[in-house]
Amino acid sequence: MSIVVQGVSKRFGDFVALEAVSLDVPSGSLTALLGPSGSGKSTLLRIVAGLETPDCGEIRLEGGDATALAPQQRHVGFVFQHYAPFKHMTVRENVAFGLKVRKKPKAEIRERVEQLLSLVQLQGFGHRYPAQLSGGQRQRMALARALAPEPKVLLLDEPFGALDARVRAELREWLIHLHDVVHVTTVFVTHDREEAMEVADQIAVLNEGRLEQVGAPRELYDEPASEFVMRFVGDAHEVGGVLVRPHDLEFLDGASSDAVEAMIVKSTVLGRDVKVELHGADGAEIVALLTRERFEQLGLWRGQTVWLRPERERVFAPVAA
Amino acid sequence: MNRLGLRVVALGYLALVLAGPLGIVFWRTFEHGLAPAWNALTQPETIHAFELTLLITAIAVPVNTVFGVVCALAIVRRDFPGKGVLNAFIDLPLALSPVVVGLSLFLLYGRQGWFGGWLEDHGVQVLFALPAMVIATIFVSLPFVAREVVPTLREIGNDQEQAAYTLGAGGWSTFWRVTLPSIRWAVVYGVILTTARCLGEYGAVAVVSGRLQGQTETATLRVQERYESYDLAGAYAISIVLALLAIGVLVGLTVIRPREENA
Repeated sequence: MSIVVQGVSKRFGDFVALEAVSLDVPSGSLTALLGPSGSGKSTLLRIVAGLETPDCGEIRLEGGDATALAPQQRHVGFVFQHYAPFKHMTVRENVAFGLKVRKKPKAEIRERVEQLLSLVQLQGFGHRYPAQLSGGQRQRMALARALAPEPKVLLLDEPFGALDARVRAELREWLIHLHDVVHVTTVFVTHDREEAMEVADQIAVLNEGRLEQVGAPRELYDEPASEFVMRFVGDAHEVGGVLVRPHDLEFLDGASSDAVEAMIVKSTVLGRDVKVELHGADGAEIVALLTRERFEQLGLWRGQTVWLRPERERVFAPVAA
Repeated sequence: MNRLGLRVVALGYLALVLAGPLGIVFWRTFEHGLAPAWNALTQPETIHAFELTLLITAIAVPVNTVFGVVCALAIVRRDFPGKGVLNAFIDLPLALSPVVVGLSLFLLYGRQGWFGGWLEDHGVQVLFALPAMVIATIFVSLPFVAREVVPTLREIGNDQEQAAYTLGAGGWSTFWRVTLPSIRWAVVYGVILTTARCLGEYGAVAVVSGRLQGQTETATLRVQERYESYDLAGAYAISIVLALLAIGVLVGLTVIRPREENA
């Protein structure tokens, strides 16, 4: 099911959470809402779910106006940041909840719950209480619970935020796999650019309540629409007044009108790549990334003075304040 | 001060203030054997007094349980004008002397009161009858459920309720399936405190009941009446039953507490 957000604004007192945000989420896509904390991404997700009401603007689900619909009528699955498990219910009862309140026949509920528990690899945990599960298991239970009533849209608020790095990586893989299997339109909120890049096929970057850019991960990285996106989506440094990614710096032997003088401070081997830290002649801290092959070919050494020429550099018009 | 010293002080204080007087009541009651106590307890007026106390409690506790849960939900989950006033007013019965409560009911329901005249014209006797006693008891035992439930509701937050909404549960269904089970121990705790308060209520009921023997005399009023009639055995015997009820309530609390921590 497609989601259309049209000119949505939301304030909490004096704080502007969202300012005229419009966004299209195509049916079946896996979209990330990416932004720093306070950028309005969670608020947008909650507005789509009907848990918050926008001050103005419209939400359309599958073409129909859903702005005034209660969360119960939207048929969305929502996974909360801290999973919001029903603590007094077992895993099985948690997953069955959405089917029970819809008065599905008992046999059907039992079958569907077992099917979901095996999908999220929690077979044999059905009789446990949420307090007896690990963070990752609780997360998967929350997912199964959200998927049980067969929602047309799955919304996840910082789904991997509270987990340790290893479980996070595992669950990312797993979410991609799940999306392939279930194929439900999925939107998730994250502040982690790598997470967004790895999981999503479309990313919407939010900053201070405004939508900065929407696009495929590669598009955002290669063609950022603003300085904010350029800096937020990947590493970027200012070299001679332009913004450039670390691997888009060419090392020259001699002075050139389009190059900037800098001194090598440190070099670190990162597997196949070498990270070179430099001090610009103008005092700027610069980081360059080049392949090991190129590094050895150039024969760079600490304390050496080099000239850097930005390739594929960007200049952004200053944001009107 | 070392730990032993602390323990001696704490236990000594309890013995002096609580156990001592209670022990004396026990001793005096059964000083001359079980017979006098039994005779005092089986007097029709005494039995009626206990029945009346239990009846009032049986009405006041459910009323205050429903009211307390509704108020707590309103205070924690809703925003409305006058919320601060409601929050402050719930504590009023704790601060106000029960005698003042009784007098205010007098002013409302007395013949010259705001509602009293009208109600009497329509054949409803409030003062010196069950209605006033129930109202007085409800008033003094009002805060306990709400005060227990409010912090629990705050602590659990509304995530689970919102999760229920997104799963298709309506407000009523969410309350029964999600909210109430989450706050159940706070409700039980509040109900026990309310019950204890209702059983022991004296001041407000004393003012509005008229203390008619065998009619509007509750167990606590009966203790006072027996005492004033120099029937000490009777007064002690009724006190013992009230004390046993209180102890039962305390035991109930202790049984529930550890379970509450595990939940």
